[in-house]
Amino acid sequence: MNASAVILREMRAEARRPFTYWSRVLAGGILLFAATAVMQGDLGTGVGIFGALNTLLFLSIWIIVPLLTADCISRERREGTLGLLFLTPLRAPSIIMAKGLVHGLRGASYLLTALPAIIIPFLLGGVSPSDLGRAALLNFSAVVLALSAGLLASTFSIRWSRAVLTSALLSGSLAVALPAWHCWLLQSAVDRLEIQWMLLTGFGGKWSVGTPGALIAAAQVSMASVTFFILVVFLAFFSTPFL
Amino acid sequence: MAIEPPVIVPAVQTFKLTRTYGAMIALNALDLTVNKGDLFGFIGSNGAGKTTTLRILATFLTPSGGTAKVLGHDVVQDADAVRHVIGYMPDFFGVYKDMEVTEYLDFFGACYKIPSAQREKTVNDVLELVGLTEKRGALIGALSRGMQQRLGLARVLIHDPQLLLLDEPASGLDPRARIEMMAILQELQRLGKTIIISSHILSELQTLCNRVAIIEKGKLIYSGPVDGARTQVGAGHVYWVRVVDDSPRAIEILKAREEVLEANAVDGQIKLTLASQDTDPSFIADVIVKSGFKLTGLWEDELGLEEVFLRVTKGETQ
Repeated sequence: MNASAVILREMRAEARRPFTYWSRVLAGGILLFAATAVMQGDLGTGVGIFGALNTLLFLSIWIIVPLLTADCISRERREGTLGLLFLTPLRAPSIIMAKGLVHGLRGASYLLTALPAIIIPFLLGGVSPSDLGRAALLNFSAVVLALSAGLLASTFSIRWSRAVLTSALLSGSLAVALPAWHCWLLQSAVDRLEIQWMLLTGFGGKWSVGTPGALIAAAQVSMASVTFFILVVFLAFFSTPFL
Repeated sequence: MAIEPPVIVPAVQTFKLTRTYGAMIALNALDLTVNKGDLFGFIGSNGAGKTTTLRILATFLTPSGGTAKVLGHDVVQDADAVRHVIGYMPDFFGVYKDMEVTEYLDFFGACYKIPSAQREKTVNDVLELVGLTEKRGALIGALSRGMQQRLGLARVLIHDPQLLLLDEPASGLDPRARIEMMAILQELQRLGKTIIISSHILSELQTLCNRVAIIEKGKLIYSGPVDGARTQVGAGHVYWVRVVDDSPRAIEILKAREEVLEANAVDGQIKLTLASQDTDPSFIADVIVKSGFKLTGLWEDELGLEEVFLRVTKGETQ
């Protein structure tokens, strides 16, 4: 693996795009605005606000991350730079891993912009470390899966529109599958569909369902997400057309 | 004990190299040999199979049949080794427009696993070679087409390959940029690189290359020295004569000689076609002078590569 060169190049390129900066400001602004709106509503408790904000964050991941990733490989194919990389000792897994890592970091940087808004419910109280851990793990899984969706779509596309559409479809499917699977793993007395609905809506503090084993289930989902990402890398390796 | 002569491995050797796309035969049993140190011109119409051949040699395409070896490495069985010894510049290639010139070359140097301590010097050397030192800090997107082509050449050289495969490196360049590109290629040959270059600008290949191959419809029509191509098409028996005054009479006298097939006045000069390629042309001067004419010029017709190409090909494309 000789991915460090690609990682440096991608990071340098992203650092030079004005979009990288103003989109972060925009994302942070939207979440702060949402936090203000939520606090003015009926969800006065910390847990309720945490649930609402985290749901917004969770859903944003499925939209932003695939969009960021969808064109990262297809653009190189379109512009004729990918073939030049294959002339070097670089191989598809290195390129995909590197791009995945850099765009994952980009996605994570958007999560960081949400931190100021997420801190508010903590100050209000009622959010347990378990809630926080589960939210972090599920958001991490969402980033990894959304990233995989974007990379997969980008690997099999050349046109920008097709890459974006495919990644939207894939990430949409995974966005439903991830909470569903998490709830299936919970094995609790609470109706599974109800929990899934709670995770997707998040209102009323339902991220804090107090179900035993919720944190473990979230960890399992995270591990499965990483495995899925590795599978995507290998799938891309076997399927990436040479030029 | 007799000393065995060293085995000379050609830079490129193909045997019955074939590539098909469905029913279309892009390359038809191509046998090609390029020696080390050659500056080899690859000539053919659009769709003749030049790019397909170069892409196979660059391991971008797998052949449908036959074999191809680059510096002794099979392009299919030993593709990694081939990639290590070649530098391939496609006819169309992208550049990362958001990078600076040195960053771009440093990136490819890193991809080729050149140690970072050595990369800076390597980047500086190739920039100097292609004449881009002054643009080292420029964004690639701001470079002209000619400079981007030169940067492409610099990228190809970054890992010091022995064989360069250049597909239309001068296409789209203005005359000055083309001349500069050709000068760089001559310098590279002087440095010991083997270069295969495909181009439509045959007049430039004629002066640049020591050997050429002409390909049509995927088949090799000719491969060898440029002069050999001229000989193959029967060149070398056309001469031009310039005399002072009364050239119509001189034409009559020359036409009367059995060695002369044809003599015509063209732009105030006499174009003389000899009946045989083996005829000693010195008789022309003898006849002219002994007939009382003042001979001011006698030279062999230099058949250009373009003319040779037109004569040996039928203009067929796939």
